Amino acid sequence: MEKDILKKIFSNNTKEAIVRFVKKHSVMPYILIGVTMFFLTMMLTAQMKTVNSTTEILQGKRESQLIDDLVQLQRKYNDLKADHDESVKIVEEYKSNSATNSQLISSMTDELKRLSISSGTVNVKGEGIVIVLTDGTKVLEPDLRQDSLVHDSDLLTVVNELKAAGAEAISINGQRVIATSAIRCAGPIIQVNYQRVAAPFTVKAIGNAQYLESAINIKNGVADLLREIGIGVKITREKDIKIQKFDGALNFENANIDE
Amino acid sequence: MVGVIILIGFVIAGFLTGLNLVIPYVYSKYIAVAILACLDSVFGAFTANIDKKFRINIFLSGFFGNALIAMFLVFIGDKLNVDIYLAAVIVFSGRLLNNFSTIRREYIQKIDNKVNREKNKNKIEKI
Repeated sequence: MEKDILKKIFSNNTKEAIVRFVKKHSVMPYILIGVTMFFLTMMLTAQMKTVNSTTEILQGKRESQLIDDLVQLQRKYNDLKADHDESVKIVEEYKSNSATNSQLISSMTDELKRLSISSGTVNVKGEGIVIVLTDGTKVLEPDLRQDSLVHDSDLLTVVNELKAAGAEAISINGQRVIATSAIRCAGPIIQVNYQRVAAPFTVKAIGNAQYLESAINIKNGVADLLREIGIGVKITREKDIKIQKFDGALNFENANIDE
Repeated sequence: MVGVIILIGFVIAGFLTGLNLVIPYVYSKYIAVAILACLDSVFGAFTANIDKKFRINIFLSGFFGNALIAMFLVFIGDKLNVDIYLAAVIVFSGRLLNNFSTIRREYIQKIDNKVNREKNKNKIEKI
């Protein structure tokens, strides 16, 4: 009983104290202005953060800037290519040396890994994006295209754009896209690697997810064009994408290494 | 004093929440225009305070209302493929500069008055 009474008195006192404090210092307007300041600083910092983090992406850059970047990157590419040529020479030297040291083996296995990834003969996984293309139902003006279905050319543009953005491995509905892959129309369905694939098309690509996404999403880019036609485009970034290896046979009958 | 501490607390809280917020790049245009609108309201409040016309209701409604209308303009502009938000940007930044000049004049006037008063005092003492 006593405790309860004490509590009541105590709470009443604190309440009164708070009320007195608020009245004495006229806190209310400060709180209201403070709330607005809260929103303002919140938006300012968030905006600055997003602008800072997106300057590196293609989006929002001006054309001239992009051209400058391109020239710079090309220069860098040439430098790196020279480096690469040098290292290829070194590897060549190792190869010609009959000494089977551990360095040679490790460089060979590294080369083997790199080549098997680029040729698509191993399963790979990593960061990337998943694009789902679904047939649209919209009927278009007849002078352009009769339908809003996903055509082989659409898939080709998407794949091409992904490659241009640095995709390291691409698959369409489980069919790995490799150097000799063909994507073409075959009647009502599309063939990839001579295997039939049908809508909805799931294009998986491993690479820098941010670059891939912005390459597809860029204004007036592939995604915009496809959406205009009426095709459903859904892009999701994923941390861990698994892409199956190419399961056909690689036959080179006419191409021989020219030394 | 208490008021200043409360204000600083709110600003710090806003800063921290802002650091942890992630705005998709698509919406950054909206936020940018909203920020301009809010800044305009704040400077407007300063000017009103100088004229002794500051009212908290007007400030609050202007602060949020302007931001919302500015965002709406951006939205409409996106839909119509016209950069209407440029109008908002121009109006808001114009008003911002006007308000700033009013504030500047007021404070420079005050300082001038002070200097003149002291000069006069010195003269009187000399005499």
